Amino acid sequence: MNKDLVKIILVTAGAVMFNLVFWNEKLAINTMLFDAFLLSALFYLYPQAPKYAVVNWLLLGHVVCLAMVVIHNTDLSKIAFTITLLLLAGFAEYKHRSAWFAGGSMILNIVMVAASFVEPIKINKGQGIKRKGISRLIRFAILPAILLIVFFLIYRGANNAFSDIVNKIGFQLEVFFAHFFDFFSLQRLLFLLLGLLITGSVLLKSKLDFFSTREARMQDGMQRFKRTLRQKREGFVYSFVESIMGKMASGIMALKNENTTGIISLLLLNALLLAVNLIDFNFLWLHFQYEEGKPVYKMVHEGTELLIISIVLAMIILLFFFKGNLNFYKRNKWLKYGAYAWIIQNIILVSSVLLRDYYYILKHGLAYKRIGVLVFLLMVLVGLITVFLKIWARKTNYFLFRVNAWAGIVVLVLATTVHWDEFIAGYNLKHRDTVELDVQFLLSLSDKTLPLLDTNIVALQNRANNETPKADYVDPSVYNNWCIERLKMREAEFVKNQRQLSWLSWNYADAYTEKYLRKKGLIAATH
Amino acid sequence: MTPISIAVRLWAKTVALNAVFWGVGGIWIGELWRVISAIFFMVGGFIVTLPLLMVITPLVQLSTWLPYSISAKIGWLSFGLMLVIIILYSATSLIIEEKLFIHDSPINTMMGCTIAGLLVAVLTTRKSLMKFHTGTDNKNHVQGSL
Repeated sequence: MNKDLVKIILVTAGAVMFNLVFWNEKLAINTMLFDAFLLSALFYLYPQAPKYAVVNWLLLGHVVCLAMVVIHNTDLSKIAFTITLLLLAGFAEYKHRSAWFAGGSMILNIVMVAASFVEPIKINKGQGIKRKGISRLIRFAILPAILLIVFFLIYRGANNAFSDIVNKIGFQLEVFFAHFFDFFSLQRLLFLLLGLLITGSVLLKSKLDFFSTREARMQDGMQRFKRTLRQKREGFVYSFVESIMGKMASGIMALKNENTTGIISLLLLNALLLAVNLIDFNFLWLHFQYEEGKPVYKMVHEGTELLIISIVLAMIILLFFFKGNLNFYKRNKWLKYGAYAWIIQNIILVSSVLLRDYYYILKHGLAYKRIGVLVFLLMVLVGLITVFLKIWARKTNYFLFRVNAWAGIVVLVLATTVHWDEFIAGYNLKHRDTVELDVQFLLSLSDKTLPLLDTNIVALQNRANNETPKADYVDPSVYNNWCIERLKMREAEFVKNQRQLSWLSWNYADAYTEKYLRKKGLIAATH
Repeated sequence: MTPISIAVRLWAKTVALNAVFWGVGGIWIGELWRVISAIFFMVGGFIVTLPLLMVITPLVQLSTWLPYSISAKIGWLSFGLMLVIIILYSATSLIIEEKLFIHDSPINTMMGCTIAGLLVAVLTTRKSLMKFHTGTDNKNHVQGSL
């Protein structure tokens, strides 16, 4: 069969399938059905794809994310599922090594989806004649149709039996069209369009191979090549350096001057960071203790964001110094030592920020942002190590971003394997004697935590009562059981939502909560 | 044939057809006030949506640069304009009704009329669109060979 025709059939079938399995449903087991179709179609259209190791690794990561969508059904697993699917398609359709470039190609696929869909539809010459024939047919039909309608109305008025039959047929037609338009509402058509957009973006390769041709020119190892002064001046970085250093940025001594500036900068920055690290070492590592009456965030949490920014800035500064010729300069030994020292000091700073976060978690328990900081620190650590590798082995920025993107993908896939809401609730409730419980926050976590909250509701209510005095309540009657009421409301809402979904929305997390509520008789009570 | 002339044709036809479909729909369901409101939508639509030409013209221009066949370029342009319509109506729905796509709301019906109007507008302007794209294709070839 013609491959162009197959593409159109597959995209259309995918859009219809998307419409059938996702309409008024949530991403759950239906995702498995749709994904199986998409992946089969992808590997059918691009049979060379499984030959690439990167595609197979991504497929593994994608399958893990898919499994997590069905098991945990968290927002994170859904986001990771989407990202890995798009990247998988990007690597299957184009020749890429970097996830950034594959992502760029997929953005082009999305932008060009309408053109890519219409492109294979070839209008043959015979169709022009056919269209003319149809237009002639319409013109011939106008007069007979008018006559038919006029006489139909006359006979209908004159003959009662005929009118009855017509009315019966009319009623049946009305019922049929009412059902038809219920099924094919505007929203449903737009949803079909969305399905077409998604399926087309994954399956149809764009004709614009901007990113793959760009990436073909990229290398991991740094190559030395000559550039004229005019070419150099065209770059933004050079203009920036020239505006600061003036004539010292050009001429024979330019590289030496740049090296000297780099050494002085790194020396001063190292000295400053050493002072910060020593203070942190003394305060956080050796003599840390929570002070009575002083909020913990004032002691440890405030400034964490600034420290993280400083580490990222440090990496940018190193990339600036080692962007070009200085990598090959014979007397760059001290500049490199300065850079290594700064990387090590930044790793110590990362550990200090980690310790800050740890102290905060010990006192206040887990929360999204605190876990986010941990993940971010992990990524920063990978970033610092790769910056070291870049300087040490003379690698390009392309290498740096490529490796870090892969590290990011691995972290993302691994992060989906944990149901974070359940983990947070479990940890905080387990350590409720040492941790200051945020009851409002716990009651706002996803439905999977409902059984856990339900078994600990008395402890939560007591904690809430201790936190807020009775006098602070507008209505004191709700004081004794507002947590219980709130949880009941959440449970009722969960049951109501579940009743609106079909088997297509089945997922382990919801089934687990439903089973618990059924066991406790709560589902029957709310029904 | 310039991008602005094509953009004006598509815009004007869509606004006019939107009002026509809205009015015809009113007759069909027996709501005569909709026939009268269609006239206001026609006049008001031309005034209110005039700035949209600043979005439509670059889209028409952009479609000429795509390395696709003419029919694919027209398809891409229609889809792009449809997205613009959906985004505009969604934003309006969010502002007025604080919700997206409410079943049987007048905004939804109006969006359907505008999309139908756009499709008919593209269909009836296809000869000009083809002529315009053929012209720009030739121009691009000449520039490329130079």
